[in-house]
Amino acid sequence: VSDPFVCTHNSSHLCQNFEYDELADVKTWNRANAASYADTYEQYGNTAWRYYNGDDCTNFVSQSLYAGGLYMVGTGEPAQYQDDSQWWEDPVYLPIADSWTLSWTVAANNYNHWTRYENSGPNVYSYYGDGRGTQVSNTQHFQVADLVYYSWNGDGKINHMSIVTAFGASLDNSGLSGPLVDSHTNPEYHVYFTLAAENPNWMTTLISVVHINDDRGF
Amino acid sequence: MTVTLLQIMRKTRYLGAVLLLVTCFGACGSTQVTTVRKSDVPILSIAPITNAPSFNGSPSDLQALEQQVANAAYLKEKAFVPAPTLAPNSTHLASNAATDGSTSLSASATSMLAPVFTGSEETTEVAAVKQFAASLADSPSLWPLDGGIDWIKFSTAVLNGTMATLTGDVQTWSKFAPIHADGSLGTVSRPTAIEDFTATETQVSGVWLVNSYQWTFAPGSGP
Repeated sequence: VSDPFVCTHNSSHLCQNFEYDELADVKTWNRANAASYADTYEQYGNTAWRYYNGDDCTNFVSQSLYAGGLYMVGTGEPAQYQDDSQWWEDPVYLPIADSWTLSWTVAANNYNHWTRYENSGPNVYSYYGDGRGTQVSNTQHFQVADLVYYSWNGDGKINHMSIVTAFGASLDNSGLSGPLVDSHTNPEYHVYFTLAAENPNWMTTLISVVHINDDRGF
Repeated sequence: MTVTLLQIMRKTRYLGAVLLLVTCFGACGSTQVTTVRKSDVPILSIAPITNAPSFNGSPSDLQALEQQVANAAYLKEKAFVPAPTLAPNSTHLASNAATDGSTSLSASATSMLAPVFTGSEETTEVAAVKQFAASLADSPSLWPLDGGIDWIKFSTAVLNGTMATLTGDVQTWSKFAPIHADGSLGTVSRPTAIEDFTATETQVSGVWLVNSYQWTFAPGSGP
């Protein structure tokens, strides 16, 4: 997918979705806007979009990235929902279809999208590495809107994701300080990015971080 | 019928608890549901299966199977706690603590886990503890203080020869604190979550051992 603004499926109603996209005029990827969106909708969600009851973490982050200026990628063809090279969902405010890609809604597919299909050219991502517990390297390079992925068993199968929204003291009274994230489904607001204080299996959790470069979105 | 069976080691020193735990695993399971733990939460409850039409074994078999899964869930938390534990007012330098903790974890991993797990699951569990021990030695930032389970509830059990599969949910917990360079500990956290599990067991020399333990956070639980 070389140009995320071009709908390659001319007959699809979802192509019209992209045309009517309320954010279609936004041309700048602004990570602060993504973080701001996450902060705004962390608690109750945004009714303009679907809410995946009990499993909303990736949808929440995808919405945040979209609000930050990233454009949907792909054909909008419902039958291609498993194609991780695509990343889109039709918002509820356009009640035309009821479809989305797994990369928009499932953490493992989202990770696959950014690390496999958006890892070259102007959309290059930076991968900080991974680690157990708190052992993520180079945390000093974290920026807001970075994506944090969690594998609870440490087996590499990604189970959860969150988005970096601030820096400082974690608001969960854990005494931890550093990059802070917001996440769904259980609403978490400005908590330490490892989620250690919320996770009794923090000892085995494998954490990966993806940074989307500033030129992504143009 | 929901039965809560308690055998609690109250105010028992950690080492003693471990020794009794390991001793008990091989002999206690088939006669009575027992639970051994050093406990901040003094009660561990086991809610056994009340109706298991697919289970064609004896009640004592079922008890033994359930007990071993409870042991597995418990050790999946407890095995990550170095011994001896650090006191909140510890003056043990972080680097020393990390070395000692890492060494003790690595040394105890197999002896703690082998009485409960077998096969690839034992390999996985031991490797997880040793990997964590290595990370602890490399760069300690959080220090495990304790861990265990508050309760476990079984939903189904199926016995097929010398293989059994049990499902249910369990509430696990961990206690940790940030460790500072001088070895002192920061704020103590105690995360807890409910997990859905599917465990399979196989009989080895007459003892049921867990050869697979899969879990996910229960809906609405976990981070």
